[in-house]
Amino acid sequence: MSLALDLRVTRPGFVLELALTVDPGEVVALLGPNGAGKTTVLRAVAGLQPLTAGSVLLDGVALQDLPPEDRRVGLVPQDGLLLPHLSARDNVAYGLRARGTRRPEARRRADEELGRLGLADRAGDRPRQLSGGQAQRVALARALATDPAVLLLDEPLAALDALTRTEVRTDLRARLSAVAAPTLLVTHDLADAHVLADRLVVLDAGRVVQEGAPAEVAARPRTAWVAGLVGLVLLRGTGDRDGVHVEQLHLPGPAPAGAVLVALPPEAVALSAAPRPGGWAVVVRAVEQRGAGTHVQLDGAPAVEAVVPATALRELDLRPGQQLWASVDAVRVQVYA
Amino acid sequence: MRRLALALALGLALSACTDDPAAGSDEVVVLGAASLAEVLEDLADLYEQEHPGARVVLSTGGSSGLARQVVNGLPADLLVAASPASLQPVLDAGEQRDDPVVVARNRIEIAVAPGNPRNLSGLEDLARPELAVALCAPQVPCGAAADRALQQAGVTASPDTLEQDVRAVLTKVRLGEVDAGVVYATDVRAAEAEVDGLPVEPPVTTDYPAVRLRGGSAPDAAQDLLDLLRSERGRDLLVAAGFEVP
Amino acid sequence: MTRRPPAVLLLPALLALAFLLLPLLALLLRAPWTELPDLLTTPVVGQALRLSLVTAGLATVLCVLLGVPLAWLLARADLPGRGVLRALVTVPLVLPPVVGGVALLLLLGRDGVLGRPLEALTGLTVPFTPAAVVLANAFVALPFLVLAVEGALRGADRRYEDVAATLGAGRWHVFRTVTVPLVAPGIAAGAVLSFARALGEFGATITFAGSFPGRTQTMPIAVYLALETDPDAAIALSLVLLLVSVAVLAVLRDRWTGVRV
Repeated sequence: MSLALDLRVTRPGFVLELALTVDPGEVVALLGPNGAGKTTVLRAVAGLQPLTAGSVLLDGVALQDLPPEDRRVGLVPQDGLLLPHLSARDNVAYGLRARGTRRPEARRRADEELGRLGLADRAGDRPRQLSGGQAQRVALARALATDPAVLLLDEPLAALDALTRTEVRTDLRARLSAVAAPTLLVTHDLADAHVLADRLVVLDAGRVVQEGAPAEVAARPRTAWVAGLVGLVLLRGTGDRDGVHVEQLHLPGPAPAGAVLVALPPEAVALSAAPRPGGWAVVVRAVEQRGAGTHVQLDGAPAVEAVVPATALRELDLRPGQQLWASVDAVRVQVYA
Repeated sequence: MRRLALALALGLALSACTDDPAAGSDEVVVLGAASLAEVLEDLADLYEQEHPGARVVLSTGGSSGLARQVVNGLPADLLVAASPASLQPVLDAGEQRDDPVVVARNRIEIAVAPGNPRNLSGLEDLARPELAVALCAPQVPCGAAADRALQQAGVTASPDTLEQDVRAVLTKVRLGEVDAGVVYATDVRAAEAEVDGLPVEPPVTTDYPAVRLRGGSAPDAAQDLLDLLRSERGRDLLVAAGFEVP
Repeated sequence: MTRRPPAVLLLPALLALAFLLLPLLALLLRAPWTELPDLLTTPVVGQALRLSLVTAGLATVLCVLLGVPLAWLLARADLPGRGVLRALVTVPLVLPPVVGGVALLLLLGRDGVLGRPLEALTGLTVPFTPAAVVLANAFVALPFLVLAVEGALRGADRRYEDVAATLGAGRWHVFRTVTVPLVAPGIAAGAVLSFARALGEFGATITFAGSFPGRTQTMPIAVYLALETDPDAAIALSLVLLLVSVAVLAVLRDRWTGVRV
């Protein structure tokens, strides 16, 4: 069954507008900064948020007027939200029991589902006895036990520490690959999206700003936010026969005509005290020591960020207000429309 | 802030000092059964008219409660109780100045709704199972009197409730919650048109003893009041309220 | 390391403790311990105690059955005039109990607004029956339960109910399997308060239900009457009530109510 969304939801602060189709077995990640509307999309599909306009269609059947209990949606909430007064097994069995399955049968299927996630021995534990990662897996098992027609995951790894995160992510990937239902995953972490999703949709202030395969989005970000996630500097310029022009920066070579985006890693920006051909004047705004390199925020036309290797530090005077010259290694620059 | 605390402390201390009922030498404290409230108030007015400058402080209520207060040290000059039994604790504690004297009698009556719609004629009707009947609890003077009356008449009543004071019984009759209640003649008189009273034959009365108390500081005034109550004028007041006089 | 509380707090706290405990201590000290067995084995005492416990228990059950839905309504439903409703619910708290009894009489008495048609249709009368005691108790105790449960519902995390709905649970199923278990400590605490209030109820009971040994004479009424003629018996009965109350509180420890007792 495929999921077709055409949503309009008015929220305080912004209006969410989204048109999206998710195919059976496909995992689509919704990426975006906090407040972009990602959770609103999930709640709208689950029936916890009414639509201002539009539709939620599952294989052509309209869901938007149905209450949550009548939609066959499986939701894995951000904090797992396992019912504290039930064991892990009874939590997973909850959906089956609510829909009329007898207790022994429901518990058997719950144990099966937990087994698939390697939690068979924790089935009798209460949620407070489980670790963060275990609780999150149980929440997933609970959503999958009801054989949902749509699977929704809200920041499934956000509450976990770095080590647990990697483990659970791997398990999640394996489990999701066996799920036949269309899956919508919300995250603000690009690595999660890379590992888990087939397709990435970037939301900002209620609108879709970019869509595509995770690798493609990472290589060619269209918004400063995504560029920041990936660690690239994003510039907007114009292309013509001569090359690309971004204010005082000129990059020769073939380029699409008209408005273009220029993405480059900060390592590709070289700083010097004296002017160089192809460069432009910049002023140091801030200097930050980060691990191996020194990150420098520069004001100029255009403003960029540079990473200065240790070897070059001696030659440059890196103080806020210092005037320098920036130039770019054209090889490492991506230009796209 | 300190000054405020000091002022408050002084104020509290002063108010405690002035809380002495016997402080005024022309004050006489009288405790009386609730059914005697109006009579005692009229008596007090009479006394104050004849003894200018004198002041009668009157407190009425359940007799056993008043007796308890006296035993616990309440300084009073005169106590008039609704039964000899309720006065007993005072005598046992030796709080009396002289022997008690009976100043009034109250007769038992059956209170019914105006017009006697259920056609009661006497105590024997209180055994009728279809009637709702209220009596005083036997621990209370009017309950003891009612029990005596029923025993004498050889009637076993089936009361629906045993109330803790006679006024509660009267209220239940007035509200129509019960068809009959055993109360005093004075209560029927006080309720005027709201209840009718049926006499009990042979009559059963309860004695109201009065006694001067040691704890009070105006024994002479107490004697004057007692004499006034037993005088012609006092007896007139009692009869007017529905009491009998010895 | 626990810090000693400041004297400004310690002194009033100790005064409060003394204020509450010293009268009880006096009760224990003045109790007629040697006569206690005789006083307590009279049938009247057994009847009164049994009646008190049974009617208070039934009243508590009634309060839970009626109060939890009402609390849910006040906490969750989007009703206009909810504030007014909540104020009305607390009226029995500020009303003198005797006034409550009078009101119940005017409603359910023989001549009452509902009492008269009830008697005409079914021949049943409510006053002077143990049922009347239960109703009087429930009337004064209900606000305690409603307020305790409403507070618990307001503080409960609604997201659990959302998740339950997505798992296919209808609203009644969610209420039964998620909402109620989550506020169970609040319900238990409210029930304890209600039971305690019902056990000690006097004014409304004696006004509406009257007083008759074995039928409507509860422990508090028995104590009041005993005070008329036999203060020692009154103290003995008070002692029994005190011990029963302490036993009830001891049984319902914080494991059940979430309230440290």
